Amino acid sequence: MSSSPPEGVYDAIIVGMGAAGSVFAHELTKAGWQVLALERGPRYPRHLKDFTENDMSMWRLLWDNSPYQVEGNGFHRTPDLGLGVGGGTLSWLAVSPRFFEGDLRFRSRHGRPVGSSVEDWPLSLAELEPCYDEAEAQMGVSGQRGPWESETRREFPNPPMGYYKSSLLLRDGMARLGIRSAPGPVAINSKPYQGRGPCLNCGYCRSGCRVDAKYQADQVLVAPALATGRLDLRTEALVTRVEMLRTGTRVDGVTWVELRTHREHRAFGKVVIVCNNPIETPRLFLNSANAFHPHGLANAHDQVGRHFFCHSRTLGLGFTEQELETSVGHGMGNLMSLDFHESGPEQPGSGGFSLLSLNGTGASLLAAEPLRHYMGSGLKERMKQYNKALLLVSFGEGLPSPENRITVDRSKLDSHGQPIARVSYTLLENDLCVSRAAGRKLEEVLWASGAREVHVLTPALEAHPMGTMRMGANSRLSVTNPYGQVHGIDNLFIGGASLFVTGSCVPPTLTLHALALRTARHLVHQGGALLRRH
Amino acid sequence: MTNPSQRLSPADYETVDALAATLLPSDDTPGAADTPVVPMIIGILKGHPEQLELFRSALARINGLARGTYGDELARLPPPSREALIGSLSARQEFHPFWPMFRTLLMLCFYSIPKVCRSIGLPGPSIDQGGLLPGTRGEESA
Ligand SMILES: Cc1cc2nc3c(=O)[nH]c(=O)nc-3n(C[C@H](O)[C@H](O)[C@H](O)COP(=O)(O)OP(=O)(O)OC[C@H]3O[C@@H](n4cnc5c(N)ncnc54)[C@H](O)[C@@H]3O)c2cc1C
Ligand code: SF4
Repeated sequence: MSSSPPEGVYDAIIVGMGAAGSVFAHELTKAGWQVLALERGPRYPRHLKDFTENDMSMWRLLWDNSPYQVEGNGFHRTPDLGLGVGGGTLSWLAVSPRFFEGDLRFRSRHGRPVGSSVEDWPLSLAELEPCYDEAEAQMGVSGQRGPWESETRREFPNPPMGYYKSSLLLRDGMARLGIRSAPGPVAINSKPYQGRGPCLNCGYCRSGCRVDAKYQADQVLVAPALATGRLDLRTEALVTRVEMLRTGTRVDGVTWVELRTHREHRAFGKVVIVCNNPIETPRLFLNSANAFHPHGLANAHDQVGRHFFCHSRTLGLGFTEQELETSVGHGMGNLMSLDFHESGPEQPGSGGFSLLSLNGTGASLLAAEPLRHYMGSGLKERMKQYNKALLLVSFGEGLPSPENRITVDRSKLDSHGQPIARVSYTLLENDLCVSRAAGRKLEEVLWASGAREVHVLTPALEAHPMGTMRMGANSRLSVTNPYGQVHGIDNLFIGGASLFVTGSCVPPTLTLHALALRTARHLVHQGGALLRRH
Repeated sequence: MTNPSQRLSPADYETVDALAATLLPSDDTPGAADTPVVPMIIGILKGHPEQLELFRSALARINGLARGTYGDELARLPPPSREALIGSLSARQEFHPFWPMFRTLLMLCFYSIPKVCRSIGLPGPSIDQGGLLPGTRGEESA
C-alpha cells in the first residue's frame, strides 16, 4: 500500500521518531491517519544483527551534544538522548516509574525556591493514570507495587525481575538504615510478553537489546505503524524549519534535508507534531522565525527554550569482598528506593532524589566517573574488582529557571546553515542541596551494604534534559496547553520531556510516553475538526 | 585530502601514547600499550575538528609544562616525573575541558576492548549462546 497522501498533504507530520514520536506514529496510523515521519538518524530493522554486545556500539545510538555552545556550570554534554528510529529507547536502561501526584503540584507544595520558575502541572495524576496504564502495557513494564505507591495502582503487566546478588546486599543495607526498597519498574520482560522474549541478562542494554527483551520503540510501535501502510518513514532526514506560509495561526508543513544527498524538500501536513528532544525542539522553533513570528515560532512571550532543567545524576561505587557478578544483568533499577522522593529531614531542599542499583557492563563508566581521581596501578587494581562492586545511582530533582534556557547562536551555523543551540544552565542552590543529600545517602547505603571502600562522584552530572516548551494554562508563562498544543497555533503540537513543567526524581520516559498517548488521543478525538479545517 | 593542521603530528601522537600508558600501564593484564586504544581515540577525533584542535593545543601545553618543570617532553620523562605531571593535570584549570574529555574518552574506549573486558571478568557477548541465565542471579527473587 502506498504511504504517500493522495493530494500531497499528509494528515500529520512527525519530527523525530524517538520515544515520543513513535507513540504518535503508532496511534495516528492506527486511527487511519496518513503520516509522514522524519527522523535524523537511521533505522535498525534487525536488532539481532544490527546491534552488537560492546559498550562502544552505544555511541552511534546517542544524540551528539558536542556542537552546542554551553554557558554555566550545569551542562556537561552527558549524552542522554537518542539518534535513530526509536530514539533514546534504543540505548536506554528502561527504568519506568510513574510520577507522584505531589510532583505535579510542586509550586503548591513547596512554593517557588530561589531562582526557580516552578509551577504546578496543568493536569492531575488522575488524568494521566489511564495513559500510564496503557504506556506500561505497551512497554511491558515488569515490576511490583512499591511501598510509596497507592494501593489502587493497577498491577504491572509483568512480574518483577528477580533480584541480582548485588541487589540483595543493597536491599539488606538499606533495610539496616530503615530505607524501604522494591524491584524497580523496568520496561524489560521478566517473561515472554507480546511476542518478545525475556531478558537474557547479557548486560549490554546501552548498546541496544538484540533480543528485544527491553522495550525499544522502533520494534514495538514503529514496525506495526509501518505495517498499516499509512506511515511514510524517512530516515536520515533532518528537519530544518517548520513552515507557516498563509497565516500566523496555522503551520503548513516543514522543510527537511535528505542527509544522504543533501537535497532539500518541503512537506505539507494538516498537523505538525514536533518530538525532537528538549534542546532541538526549541532550536527548531527559534530557527523557524517568520514574518508572523519574527522572534521564533510561538515565541511572542519569550517562553520558547526557557525553564530548562535536568536531573542531577550521582554515581556511587562500593567495593566488597564478595563475588557479585556485577557485570551480569540489565543495567539499572533491579532494586529501587523512592523513600527520599520528597523533602524531609535528610533532604532539606525542595524536591527529592531516587536510589537505583546498577548492573551490567558499564565498567568504562566506572573508570571514567567515580574512579576519575585514580590512575596507573591504583586504577587498574580497582577495575579488576568490578565484579565485587556495588553500584548505585541517584537522580536528584532539578528545578526549572527562566534563565536556564536554550537559545540559538546566529553566529555559529551547522553544515545546513542553521544556527546551533546554546545551552545556558547554571545549577540553583536547591539543585545543589538535593544532589549533596543524594551523595550522602549513597555513601551511607554503600557502607551499610558491606562495602569496604566507597567512592561517590561529586559534583553530580546532569541527566534527562527537560522543560523548554512547557505546558500551562497561561500563554505568557508557557508554550503549550495541557495537550501539548502550541498556544495560538492550533495545528502544531509538541511531544517529549520538553513539555514537563517540573521533573520529579524518577526518569522521564514513561511519563513522556503517557503524555504522548494523551495528546494522540486528543488529536484523534478532536482532530477531525483540525483536519477538515485545512 | 585532509588538511595537515587537522591531524595530530607524530610528536602529538607520542604524547597521547605516553598519557595513555601512564594512566593504564601494562601489568598482569593488558595496558593501553597492548591495545589499539590510542588509534581508537584519534579515529573518534577525526570527525570532530574542534575537538582535535583542543587536543593539539592541550598536548602542546602539556609538553611545555613538562619541559618547564622536568626539562624534557612528556614521552621522554622517567615514569615518576611523568606520573607526577599527569597527576597534576586534573587540578589545573588551563587543562579543562581537555583533561576530563581525554580521560573519559580513554576509559570508555579502553574498557570496551574485548581482551580488556575479559581481563577484568566481564562476560563479553553472550546472547548468541543463550545469554547469562544460570548462576547469575541471587537465590531469592523479589
Ligand atoms: C544510556 C541511556 C539510558 C537511559 N535510561 C533511561 C531510563 O532508564 N529511563 C528513562 O525514563 N529514560 C532513560 N533514558 C532517557 C530516554 O532515552 C529519553 O528520556 C527519551 O528517549 C526521550 O524521548 P524523546 O522522544 O523526547 O527523545 P528521543 O528519544 O531522543 O528522540 C528524539 C528523536 O528526534 C530526532 N531528531 C532530533 N532532531 C531532529 C530533526 N531536526 N529532524 C529530524 N529528527 C530529529 C533524534 O534523532 C531522535 O531520534 C536513557 C537515555 C540514555 C541515552
Ligand atoms: S540485559 Fe536483558 S534487556 Fe538488557 S540487553 Fe541484555 S537481554 Fe536485553
